[in-house]
Amino acid sequence: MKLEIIKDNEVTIVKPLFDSLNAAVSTEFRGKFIDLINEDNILFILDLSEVNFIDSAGLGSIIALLKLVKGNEGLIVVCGVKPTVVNLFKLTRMDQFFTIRQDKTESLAFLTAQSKK
Amino acid sequence: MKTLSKKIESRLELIEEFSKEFRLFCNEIVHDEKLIFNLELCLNEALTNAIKHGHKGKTGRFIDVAVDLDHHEIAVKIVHDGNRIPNFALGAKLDFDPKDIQTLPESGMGLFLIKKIMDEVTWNLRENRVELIMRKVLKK
Repeated sequence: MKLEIIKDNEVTIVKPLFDSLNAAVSTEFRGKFIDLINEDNILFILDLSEVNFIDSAGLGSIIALLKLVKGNEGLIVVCGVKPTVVNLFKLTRMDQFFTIRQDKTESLAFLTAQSKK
Repeated sequence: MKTLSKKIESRLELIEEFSKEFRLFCNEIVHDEKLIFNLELCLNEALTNAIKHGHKGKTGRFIDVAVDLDHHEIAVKIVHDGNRIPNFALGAKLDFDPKDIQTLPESGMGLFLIKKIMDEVTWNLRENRVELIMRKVLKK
């Protein structure tokens, strides 16, 4: 399971480089992301542009990360979400708890604006 | 009517390959990406439940999947020899406090999604095998 991890100033951009975030990989994905949280990172962008499918286990892992980041008074923005995957967020009513932006540029602009407040 | 049948070894890492085969199979008749995603989601959730809760992750077990598809309906049948879903879990709801993010669910959403997406979901016990049948009307 490959993740691309890029630092842009204070923002950590995590991009899964696989097609499906499902029950087979969700635990490992969560673990790798938690490592980044434990390194005192608090501003995150989760770029899902390479991910075409997410199941409830994958969504559960993203929800767990949202809770951890928010618990640390941090922020996480999700971007590059395929319309079909957005549908999963809506079916579970999770769309109301996530900040979802079109792409990395919009996500960075949002985090920059928020961190100046 | 088109039919897709497969015997899959009960391992989480094998779901993705069959899931893609299922997607291509559906694509021959269904041309709505969101609908195909939802059907694929139900297939994934049902297989994951069979592996994690039915077979409890034990290796060397198998799951039979049969899909019937025509322009009017899809029926997905999943059969395994593991544990059945306990009755209390069948009424799956998604309960959380929208004012408290820490109450958001991290698991237990699979059955909720299946019941929300599919028109009919039935569980039967036949000759010590658990049979799940999920149906969705595609065109009335």
